[in-house]
Amino acid sequence: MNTWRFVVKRAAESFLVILAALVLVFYLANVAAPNPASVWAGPDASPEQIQVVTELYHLDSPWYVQLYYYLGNFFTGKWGISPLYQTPVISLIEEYLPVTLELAVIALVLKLLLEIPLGVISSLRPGGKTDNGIRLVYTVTRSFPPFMVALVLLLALSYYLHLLPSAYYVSPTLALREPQFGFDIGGHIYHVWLIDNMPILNALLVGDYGAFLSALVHVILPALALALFGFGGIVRLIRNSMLDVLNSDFVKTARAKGLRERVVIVRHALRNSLLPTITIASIIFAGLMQGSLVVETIFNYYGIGYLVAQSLLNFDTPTLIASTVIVTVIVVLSNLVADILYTVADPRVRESL
Amino acid sequence: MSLYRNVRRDKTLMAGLVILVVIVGLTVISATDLRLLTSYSPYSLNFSASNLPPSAKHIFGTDQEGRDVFTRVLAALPVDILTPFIIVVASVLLGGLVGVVAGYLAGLVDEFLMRITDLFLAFPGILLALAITEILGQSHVSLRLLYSEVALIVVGWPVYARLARGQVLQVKNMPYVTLAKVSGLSRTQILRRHVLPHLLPLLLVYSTLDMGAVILNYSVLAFFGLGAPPPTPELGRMVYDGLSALPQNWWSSLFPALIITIIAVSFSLMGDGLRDALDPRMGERYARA
Repeated sequence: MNTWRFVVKRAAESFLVILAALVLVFYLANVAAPNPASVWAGPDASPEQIQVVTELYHLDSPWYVQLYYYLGNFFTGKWGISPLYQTPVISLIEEYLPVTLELAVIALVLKLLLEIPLGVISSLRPGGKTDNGIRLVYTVTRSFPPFMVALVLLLALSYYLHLLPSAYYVSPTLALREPQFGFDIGGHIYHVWLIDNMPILNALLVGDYGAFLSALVHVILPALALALFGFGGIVRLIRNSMLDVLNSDFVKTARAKGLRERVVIVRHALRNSLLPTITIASIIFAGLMQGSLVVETIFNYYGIGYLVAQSLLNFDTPTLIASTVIVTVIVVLSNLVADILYTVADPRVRESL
Repeated sequence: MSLYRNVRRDKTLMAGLVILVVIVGLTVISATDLRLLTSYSPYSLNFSASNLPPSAKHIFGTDQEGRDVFTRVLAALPVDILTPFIIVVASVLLGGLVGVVAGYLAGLVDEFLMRITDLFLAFPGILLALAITEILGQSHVSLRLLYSEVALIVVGWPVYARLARGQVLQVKNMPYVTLAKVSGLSRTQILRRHVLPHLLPLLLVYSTLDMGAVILNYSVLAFFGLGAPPPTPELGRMVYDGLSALPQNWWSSLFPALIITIIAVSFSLMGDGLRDALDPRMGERYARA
């Protein structure tokens, strides 16, 4: 199978998964729920509000008509109105999603920087003291709940040592006068919502170094808590694939040639051991997106995880539904990207798929 | 016997087992009569004793409402252990059935069932479970625990379907199964006597590991108030409720979080140990991401 056919096939499958997620959520909210109108209007809605919502979402039509409107609205960005914030859901997502994307990318980088070296060290002397120590640590940390690390970091570094702020993505006094970055093309300023709402990137592009530093200081704790959530998965993966590679002929050849050990390990062994990590990077990213629910709640970090948490706690179902679908889309797309990257890096995989 | 092959692994298995025996023991006593373990009530409010730090009288301190945190942790154990257990057992049964049917019948049935399995595997698990519980449970608070179980089964069964199918495919074409077929055993007899015995150890190991993961997922549901309805104490919910008392009262959220961690870690220690005892190579093949 050639690369393009594979990419098209996987893309079509991903689209089907997204469609299935949409239909499943539709079925839950409009058909299976005991009272669909209150799902969309919120539990405290008045009879008049229920009436408005019933007409807005066509809740008195047969289910297939509802499905038609629901899918049509989804693909045109009409994701309903949040009963909690009284604003269109899409504008909430535009505001909150970029914050989490930025946080998750930083957390992913931190995670890789922490775990890959440990995996390499662990593989150098398998069964040795260091290896056993590292393995003991990750067998335990791998099953930590997301709130455990966050709580310990919050209590120790923020409340006890007063090193880092305990809440928000930028100091509240700075947030009030935050300018937003725009691309100046032919005298007209274009704004990109994705960049506008990333606190660190926006501040950097605008050149507001006070805000940039503040955002950087605020991101450390949540990013560290996310990076340490499920700590050990990559250590183990790198360790095992390093062990496989270190025993292979080409590494022996490299050593026999008299290359320095550092070069053998980094250039020859580690490079080849990174492949499995690339494939599961999307799964890790999905884990980070889900971990952000708890972490952002604990640190009051206003990203999509915080938004989902608030919608759960306040029965703001339209926001919850849209966020769930959007996160599913992100997860499915990152899976797709990982699969494509993997087949580019190792064409043998395609045969088995 | 291979069970004693690896001393280090044995230690983790034993450590997990010992902690679990203690916790299950406490859970059983707590479910029969809580007063055997503590003199406080997990429910009654006592504002004159609120936010007391850990001491000999209250080893985990008291919460904002003056309830003894240790007592509430003990009272939460039955729900927090039993609910994940029900979820795992149901996921094993449902996923196992789908996997065995797919692997055994093969062909179009297999293709169809595995497509559905893959579909469910592609969803972000906890988030979907949270959404299902919130949407279904918002007007029926008393049924919320049931809905949260259903939601976690919905996201939990696909892994077992894949495991079971893989194992059935592997065993199905072995010479001794062919011999059994030739000697005239019926399909159900072959399945029961020759295929299922190979499947059970694998499912047992994986479900032990999975118990830890489900306990974590359920604690996240409870954290957001989607588990058992109040006033039933729940570890996840206690962590959330304690957040509003930070930073002065750190004990009413940290101790419940610590207990969930210990329970989840001991299940995964035991699962790891069992897996290595059964087949040391399995760890690489079925490693969870």
